[in-house]
Amino acid sequence: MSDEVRLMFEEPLIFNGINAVTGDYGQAPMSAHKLARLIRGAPSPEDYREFVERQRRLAILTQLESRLTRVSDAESALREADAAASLEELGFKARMQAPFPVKPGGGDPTRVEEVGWAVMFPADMHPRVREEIKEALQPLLDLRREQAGDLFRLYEGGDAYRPGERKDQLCERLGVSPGLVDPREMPFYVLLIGTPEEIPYSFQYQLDVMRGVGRLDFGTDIEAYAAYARHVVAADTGDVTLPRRAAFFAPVNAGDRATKLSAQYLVRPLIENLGVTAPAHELALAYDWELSAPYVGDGLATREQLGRLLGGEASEMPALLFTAGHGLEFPAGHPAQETYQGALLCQDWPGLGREIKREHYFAGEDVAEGASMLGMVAFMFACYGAGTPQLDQFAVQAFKVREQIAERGFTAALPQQMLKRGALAVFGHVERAWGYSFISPSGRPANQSFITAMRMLMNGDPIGLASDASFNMRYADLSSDLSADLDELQWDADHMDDYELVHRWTANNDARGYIVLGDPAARIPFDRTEGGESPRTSPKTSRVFETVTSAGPRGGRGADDAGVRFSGVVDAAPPTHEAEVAPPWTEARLMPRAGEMGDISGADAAVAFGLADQFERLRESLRAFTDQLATSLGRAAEDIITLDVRTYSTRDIARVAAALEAREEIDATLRALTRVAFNGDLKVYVPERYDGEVDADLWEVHKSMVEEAQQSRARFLATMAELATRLLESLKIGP
Amino acid sequence: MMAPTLSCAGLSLPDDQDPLGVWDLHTPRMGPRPSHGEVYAASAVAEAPQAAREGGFDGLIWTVAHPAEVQGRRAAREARSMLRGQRVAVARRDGALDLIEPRLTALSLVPAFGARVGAHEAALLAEVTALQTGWGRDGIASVAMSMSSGEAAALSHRQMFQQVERMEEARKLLVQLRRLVYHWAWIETQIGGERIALTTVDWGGDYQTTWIERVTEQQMDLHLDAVRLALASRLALLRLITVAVTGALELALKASVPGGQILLIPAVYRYVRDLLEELGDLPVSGLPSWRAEPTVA
Repeated sequence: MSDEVRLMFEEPLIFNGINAVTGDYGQAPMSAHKLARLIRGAPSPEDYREFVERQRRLAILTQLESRLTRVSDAESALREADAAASLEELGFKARMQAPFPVKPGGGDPTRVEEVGWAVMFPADMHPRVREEIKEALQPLLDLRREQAGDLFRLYEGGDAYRPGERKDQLCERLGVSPGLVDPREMPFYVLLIGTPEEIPYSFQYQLDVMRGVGRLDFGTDIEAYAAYARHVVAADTGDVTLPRRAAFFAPVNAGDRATKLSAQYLVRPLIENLGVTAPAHELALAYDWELSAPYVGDGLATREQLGRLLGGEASEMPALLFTAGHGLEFPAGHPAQETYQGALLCQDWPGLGREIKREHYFAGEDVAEGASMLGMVAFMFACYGAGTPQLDQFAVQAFKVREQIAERGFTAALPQQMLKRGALAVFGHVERAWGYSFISPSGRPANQSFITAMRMLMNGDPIGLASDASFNMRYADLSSDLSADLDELQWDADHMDDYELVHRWTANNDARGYIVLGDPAARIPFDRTEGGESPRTSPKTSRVFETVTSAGPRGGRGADDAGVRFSGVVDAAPPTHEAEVAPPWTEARLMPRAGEMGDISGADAAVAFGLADQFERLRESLRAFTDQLATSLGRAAEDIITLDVRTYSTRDIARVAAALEAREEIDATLRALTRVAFNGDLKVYVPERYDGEVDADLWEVHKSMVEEAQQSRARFLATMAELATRLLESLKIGP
Repeated sequence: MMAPTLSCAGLSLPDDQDPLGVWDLHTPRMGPRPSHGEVYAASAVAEAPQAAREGGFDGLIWTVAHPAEVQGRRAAREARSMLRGQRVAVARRDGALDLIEPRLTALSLVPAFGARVGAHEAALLAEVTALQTGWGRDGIASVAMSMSSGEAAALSHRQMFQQVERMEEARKLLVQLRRLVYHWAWIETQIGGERIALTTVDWGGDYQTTWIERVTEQQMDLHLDAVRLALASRLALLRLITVAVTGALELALKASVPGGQILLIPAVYRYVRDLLEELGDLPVSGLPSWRAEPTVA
């Protein structure tokens, strides 16, 4: 790992995902060393204490009775066997170094006709619901059956997915050989129908390694299935044609390093790369696309703008949408969790630690009435953007406990809504997204998976193929290497340093978690005519980016080096595009260009890691502290004329506490009062009992309080004054 | 008899450790204070006092919780004795601040001096040196400005990241110190899980105490002890902050790092805290002096 990236990892790592209740990061920043310990499953006692404390806080916020369950030995063994089976396949795929694992002669994976298509139901879905869903999907099933012919499969009944079944178990049961895909055994494209409770995400990940897999989960909303089927058929049969326009949406929130990183190392390089038709060692674009004005940062990546992109304004809706930012997370069992988890936090949010209000994020219910996203394919980089599993896998790795992060696994509401309104597919992340996965060990943006996937989509490839060739390949490559490294680390602690381990692990987890929601065989129905809309040289193009001269092969390994060609596209000499207008970035938040895309410079890193912002926050905190001190002293000075000591009694002290909190009059009986004026005048009201006698006990303690009050006030004011003086002196020499 | 539980909710100090060694600190809360018996809606550190939020007390709550057995006379006497013992402990640590302050003043950045000091001093001096090296002689503001404008930075990445870490640490501590000075005092006594008395002290020093009806004499005494202990603790914490702020300023001046005192506050705070732990339990008289005689830079 380069020294530069090593230094980057020495800073506490910031992870994507904002807790909607606290306004802070969902996963607290942690050092690379700590994360490495947790990855190795060797937390320190301090790590345990922090974990327990975090659980204590989360347990208070959640409604769930037991969030944590220890992983039993039997379960551990099962998980290891599961992982081993998975790894074997992943390693095989990685070694093949082929973009998609259809066996030789198995067919062109871009064509359903050659590699088949299947739909799979869960066995425990109610038969009536299943039949209704099938009926609703009939137009799509008919289309795919017609296309795939003998390679069409309907997995239901005895062939359906069984609860708790692993992928290798299902394949063995259905006679599907491990390894390269033989479409005759099981088609390449598989559409899962059902909730994550019915068919777990883990199964989808595993099946997705070798195949192009998607999921539809509309619950029991049969009409939604029917509408979706109509949309895909319309798109696939040429009834829908979209202009070739891609849009990019990326908030950069104040004080938040995570969104700065994603804007700087993911979105911006992605746009620059896609602005060149055929850079060296890159999949050439077969068509010119308009990359419409990127909506990044202040004033641009707003909730309102996202609404317009998502069908709210027909003229702005892109055929391909890429978003990067925080997805909201809620405590497990929170009443808003299933509705809003994964919602996209927009630029409207004032920043880290600040309250998150409803108007700061875009959720499923915010899609405008009557909005249509017909034909769109969306790519969302956000925590929980596609869905949330019931259990957090990280806790198992680190602490050997299963942490329940939701009452049950669920699909995120926003992509569901998008699919209902005509989007063909949404490619998003289940569970937490790990931002460090797009910074490579060589210190460069390592977003090759994103680039490859986007280029394939822009060439008209199916979404299931685009994701397989990019993310699944990356996942396979990283997983097999990581597994070997973790094994080696058990024997040789110096085999790999913490920073490399952290990078590989986060990248692996990130790659694993991407899934397709929607038909994996769907492809963007853009205008494929030569003179079609949105040619690159169209005067309607409002922003064109500087030419990126390829700096040669990118760093990285495996999928990062993918120079394979797909879809029979032949490289053409890249046209040059002169820079016209500088990108409309919010310059204060993103690094200035330093020539070609390359290593991170010192100044760039400084801005990227928010040094200036951090300093400003510190100054603000100091100002706030001194202002507060002055205010408090001022209040004390105003009230110094008299000293009141009051004693009350009540039957309901809780009500009194509540009234005090609300700064209301308390409902209690005043039993004694002493007022000492500045000039020495004294007023005393003595407590009486019901029989008119002085309540001696109460009077004694009241007098003690008076004495305490007199001594305490003098000391307190003196201490505060001294603190104020010292602080002001400090500020005089301050920054 | 079980000892009372002493907790301060609403204040988060480094390592969640009360430098006076008395209170169990809870992280600050958000939202309305729950009624008796409910749990807190705990959250991450509050960035700013939130008393302005609709309803809800977001301040510091000092709670002394006794077991139910304390109702008896003898148990009550023992409990009072424990609380008085804690007051003495607070007083010792408060007194120890008088000894720590001159130590801070006497710290020198001369290398030879550093070779002869104790572990706490060595750790603090190392922080000062790191700050000195990291920022150079130009001060925080000029370096930050040059970075904002995109000029080539004079610092390595490692140094930058360390500075960011320091700034964040200092900022968090300032947030907590602000909470300490912002909020008036709220002290309550619980017996067997039931709240029996509640005292608030506002900025003018006015006291307001509410007792449950039929409160006993022993219970009143226990609460009075709680009030004294809490207010003495608050005062000691304020004094500690004063010593830390002053110490940080003096060190920054010695190190010729204008503006560096803010970044040094957490390090000096920890130094004072750790020394208090070492010195605070000793008798007020007869505290050991340093092994090495300091020379003033």
